[in-house]
Amino acid sequence: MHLQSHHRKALRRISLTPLADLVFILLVFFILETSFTEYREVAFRVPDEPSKASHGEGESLTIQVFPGGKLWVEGESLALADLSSWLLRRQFSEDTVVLLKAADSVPLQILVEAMDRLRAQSLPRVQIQALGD
Amino acid sequence: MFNLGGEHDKKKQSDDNMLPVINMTFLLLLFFIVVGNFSETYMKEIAPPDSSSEILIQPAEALSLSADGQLWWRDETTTPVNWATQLQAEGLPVPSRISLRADGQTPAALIIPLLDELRLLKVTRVALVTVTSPEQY
Repeated sequence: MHLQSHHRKALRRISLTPLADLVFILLVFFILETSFTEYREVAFRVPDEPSKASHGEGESLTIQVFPGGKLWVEGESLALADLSSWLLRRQFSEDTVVLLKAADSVPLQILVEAMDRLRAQSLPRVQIQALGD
Repeated sequence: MFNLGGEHDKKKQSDDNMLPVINMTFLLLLFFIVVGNFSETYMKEIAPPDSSSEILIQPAEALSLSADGQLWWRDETTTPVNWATQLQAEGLPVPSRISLRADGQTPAALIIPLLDELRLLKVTRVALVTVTSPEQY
């Protein structure tokens, strides 16, 4: 009984301060290094040839994309924000292959936004090409 | 002797008071270890585009493309041909579908030539890594 009490006293003498310091340092490290971003994906097909869409015989729609989200589609000039309503009026089939022909300086963000709007209108078959092709 | 005992009691009491703080810190530490994701340093400089895609993915090995057109694979810069060679050296086939973590500001002039090079390596589909968009379409 006496021995047990002595042993407990010896254990209690170990300072917890270095442990607390270390745990705080680890905590700060994990707070700074970890990320809670949720990643998603947007898939598209790589065309078979740079200057030719691999859409076979089916219906296709070509959308020219310019900087600032300006679009040229079937002879009409559109803003990217108006693409959804334009597609809704036209009623394309789900098999339609959409060719996004992007000008050189168009950032990927604009192309992804266009693909988002196409997918929302059930047009998931998208290919990206250069405007010059 | 009396004084020493008093100091010892005081220290013991102060350590006892720290126990809830240490417990709490351990819990927070565990939370960050379990829930958080780590990413390579170079990946922090690549900001994927926003999208409203509902396909949630786990951050896995992906080719990364920075806004200046630099292609990255496993913390090293590479080219599509070198990437394919590296995979083949490891006995892995070049996948027909790849994940591409590209910066949202990368211009089309840098993305389209990359797609052409990937096509020559028999890559047929590209899954762009995106993050959740704040706006809904």
